[in-house]
Amino acid sequence: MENKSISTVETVFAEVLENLAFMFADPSEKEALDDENSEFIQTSILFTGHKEGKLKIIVPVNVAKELAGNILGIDTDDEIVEADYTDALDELMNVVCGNVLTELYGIEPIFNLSIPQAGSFDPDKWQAELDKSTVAAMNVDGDPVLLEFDLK
Amino acid sequence: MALNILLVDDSKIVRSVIAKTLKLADIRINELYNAGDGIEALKILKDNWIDLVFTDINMPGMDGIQLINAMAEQSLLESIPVIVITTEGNKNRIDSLKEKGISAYIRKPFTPEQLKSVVEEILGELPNYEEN
Repeated sequence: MENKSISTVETVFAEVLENLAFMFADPSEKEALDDENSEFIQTSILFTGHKEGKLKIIVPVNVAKELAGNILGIDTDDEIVEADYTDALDELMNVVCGNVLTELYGIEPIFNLSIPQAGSFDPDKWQAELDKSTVAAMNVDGDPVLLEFDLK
Repeated sequence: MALNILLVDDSKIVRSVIAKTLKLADIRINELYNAGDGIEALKILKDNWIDLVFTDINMPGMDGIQLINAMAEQSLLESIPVIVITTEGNKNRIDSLKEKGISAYIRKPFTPEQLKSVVEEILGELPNYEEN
């Protein structure tokens, strides 16, 4: 992943997360992420048109629950069901992807975005994801988050 | 003036965000209707008086463009203001939506101030909650 793309994805993700859910994200060294005892979910969105590729996010379930809780204005995560936090993560990806593409390529090119579908992530694949050059590591309020921006 | 507002989005979370932002923007609401796609939206529009529609574009079933086209073909619905809430940044697509008759579009993410400004551009200045 080019440096400009990496920094754009990181910056847009942090801005959207703060605006949408008042949560804070910072770029992290991959080695510094702590993935122990975490259950993860992932979602991805495909884009076609001026450029083709994929934006994917892998987050701990507790981060997704916090995201949904903050958006819905619910204090305890006990009330947040899976449909809520997968919906919230899908919407986050939708907004991040749209804004990343506009930041990188401007308002003239046309893109078509797929409808994201969140699902579980196999923790055994964490290291393989971490090793990808297309993956950026983020720290969200102390929790590890991976963002992949993969251009074809 | 308290408004009857219809929110059209397949995401419950997004509808919740818009509803919360409308409240934060001090926009007085009489009834808030929710639809998961254009088909549900048209049913609500036919059965209820709606002052303003917020709609997404990308939805399974009947999408936002199809909804806007369907509303434009019906004399009772064509004058209802439609605000598109989208991640879309492409200038040509936005111009195309305006040609189809939408009143405004708002890019996500958005603030209560942006939302109120757009609503007031369409409906005129709204009274604050505190004044009522």
